[in-house]
Amino acid sequence: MEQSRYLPEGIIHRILRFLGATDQARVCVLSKDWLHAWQTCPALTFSDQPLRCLFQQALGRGDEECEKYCRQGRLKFQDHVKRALLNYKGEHIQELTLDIYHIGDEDSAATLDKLLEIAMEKGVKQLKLLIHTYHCIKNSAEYYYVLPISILRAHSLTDLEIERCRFPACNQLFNGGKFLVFNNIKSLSLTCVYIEDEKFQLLLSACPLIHNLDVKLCEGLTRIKVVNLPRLKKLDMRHEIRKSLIFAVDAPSLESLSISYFGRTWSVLQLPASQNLRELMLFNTYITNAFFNDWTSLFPRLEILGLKHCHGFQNINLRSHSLKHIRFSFTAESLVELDAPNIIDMKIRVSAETMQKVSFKGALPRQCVSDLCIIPCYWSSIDVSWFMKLNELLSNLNPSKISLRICCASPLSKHASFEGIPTFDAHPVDIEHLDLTESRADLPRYLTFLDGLFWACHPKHFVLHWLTPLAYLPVKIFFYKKFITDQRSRVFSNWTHTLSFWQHYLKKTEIHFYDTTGKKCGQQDYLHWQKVSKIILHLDWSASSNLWNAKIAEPLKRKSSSVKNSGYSG
Amino acid sequence: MIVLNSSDGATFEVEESVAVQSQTIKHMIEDNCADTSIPLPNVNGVTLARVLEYIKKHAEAKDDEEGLKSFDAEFVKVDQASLFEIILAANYLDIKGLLDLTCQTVADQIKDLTVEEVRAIFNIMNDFTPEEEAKLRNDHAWAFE
Repeated sequence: MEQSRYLPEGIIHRILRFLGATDQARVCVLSKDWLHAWQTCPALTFSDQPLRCLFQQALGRGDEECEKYCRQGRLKFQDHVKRALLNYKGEHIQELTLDIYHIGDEDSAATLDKLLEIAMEKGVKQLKLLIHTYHCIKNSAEYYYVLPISILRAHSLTDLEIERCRFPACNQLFNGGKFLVFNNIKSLSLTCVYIEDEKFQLLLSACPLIHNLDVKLCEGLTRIKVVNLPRLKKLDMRHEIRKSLIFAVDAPSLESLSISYFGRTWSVLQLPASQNLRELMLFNTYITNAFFNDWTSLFPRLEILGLKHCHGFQNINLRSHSLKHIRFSFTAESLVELDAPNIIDMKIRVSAETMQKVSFKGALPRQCVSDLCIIPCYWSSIDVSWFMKLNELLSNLNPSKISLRICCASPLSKHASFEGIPTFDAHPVDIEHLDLTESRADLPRYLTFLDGLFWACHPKHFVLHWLTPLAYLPVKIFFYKKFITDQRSRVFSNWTHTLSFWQHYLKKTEIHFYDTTGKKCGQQDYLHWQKVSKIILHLDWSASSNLWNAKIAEPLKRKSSSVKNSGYSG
Repeated sequence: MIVLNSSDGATFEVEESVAVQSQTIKHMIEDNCADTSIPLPNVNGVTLARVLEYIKKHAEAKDDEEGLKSFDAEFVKVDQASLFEIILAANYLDIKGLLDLTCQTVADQIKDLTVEEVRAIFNIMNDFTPEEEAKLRNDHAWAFE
């Protein structure tokens, strides 16, 4: 075997970055070069995760032998980290990740203090301190690790991410009237950190250079004021939904704001006009209708808007000329009207039960790409009016490039109340892509469902993910009949041209089969059908195209009149 | 169009806009060292061809995330020696995307192998004495459980 070429240390450092803590430790044994690379690697990770799992299991079982083994293992691990830090041969450690279990007693805290002191002496710039505690009880904040002064004083530290720690007492944050802490911090991320309002405000005032702030699930906070941070660009807040919170932000350079889980009791002291805000994401947060007033002047540069599972509003009327990307996900009943002429792409998710209405003032630009996803909770809500709502939703998204995805969580119920498709003429919307996921459906029932879908839209590309294993042959035969030899057009004679047309638009069909583990194990493309479709296209196009065009001429009027005339009560 | 010369005398033509994905080439062009052709004495013909395949694809299909992902996955399905050659070439030519992709691939392979297997597959010579190795393994014992 040829000796492979020597890999320079810089490359081994890169490879080490992609490895987790255990693998980083293992590769030291490969050769002296690899050991040296690890001892000079600028990005180090230490994690006692395998021991943690073992320890928790042992404690749970009351297995003393195993417990003892784990304790010894942890001591060895701590020694290893200490030695690794002391023997570090590089200039300074750029990034250090410590993913460690902390029992909550003094010894454990003292060891950790020592480790962090050594780390800071090595000039760590980016520190991730992820603490795990066994005490998953409510007041577990008592057992949190108290950050040592060595971290707060470290001048080299620019990025700090901590989990499950607490900050020391206020008096320790000062030294002779001057702040001890965090002068050079640019990025701060606190997750499950216990910190009171006063301390939090002190902390913020000590980081004038900060440009990224993440505050997630921090107990002790009831009032957050993010002010006087001239360089803050990104703010990500996630709170606990049942706790009340008063929130104010005034950061003129803020470009990205993300708010999650602010429940009914939050009140916004200030979400002021912002020239620089580009991205706003609201997740599972309470917002009122009035929240969206006057956005063109409040946020003139807003490009990305995400509203996911928010509640409290019934009617959104939003105007924004800068908006380019939309990410909406709705669960509650709501009506959304958008005036956003410059949209580039949209991802909208509605629930099949409520079929929220989304409409746009003026037609969407043609290049806009819309992705509409419908998540059904219960198939019992599918009836004729459901298809009508779907058609309306799709026509509102016209003429953008639409992809429609319908994901089935549960099988198509025998109790689904639709007997068939609406008995009046449709104006199916041309869409690019129809993607369905189905499992355990009753095939003939599914046929009716598909008819309904094809009444509402004409896809060019049809993809079906068939999750029921062991049902390939019947499914293949079934769809062959549907796509190639479907004669149903003869049944609904008053509008044969509409039904048979969906086949004309369809350029490609795929059915993907999956086995019990969810892995894809087969695909059926109806390729030869494409040749057939071309012939059909050729034959029917000239014959009925005039008729089709005439129908499109007055879409809205006809639709409403036909609803009246058909006597359908849905 | 830029002309590149590999270590074994092969020449390749590539558009400047594509070639500048390599920071090394980009700087050479900016410093006007690229009159007729750029010599790359550290990269052989076969490897250079593969690297060019990568940067051409990434220039063409820039916005097609899915397509690039599957291309990348197929691209790294090569034997060890070639993978290392590509890493070294990407390092020399300073193409960050390719370097990250190939190093990630090596890392993924290491995750699934024992130390002996890694040594065998990557041709790494074990220059520790048995005592040294035993001591190291003992120090890092928690990682070997």
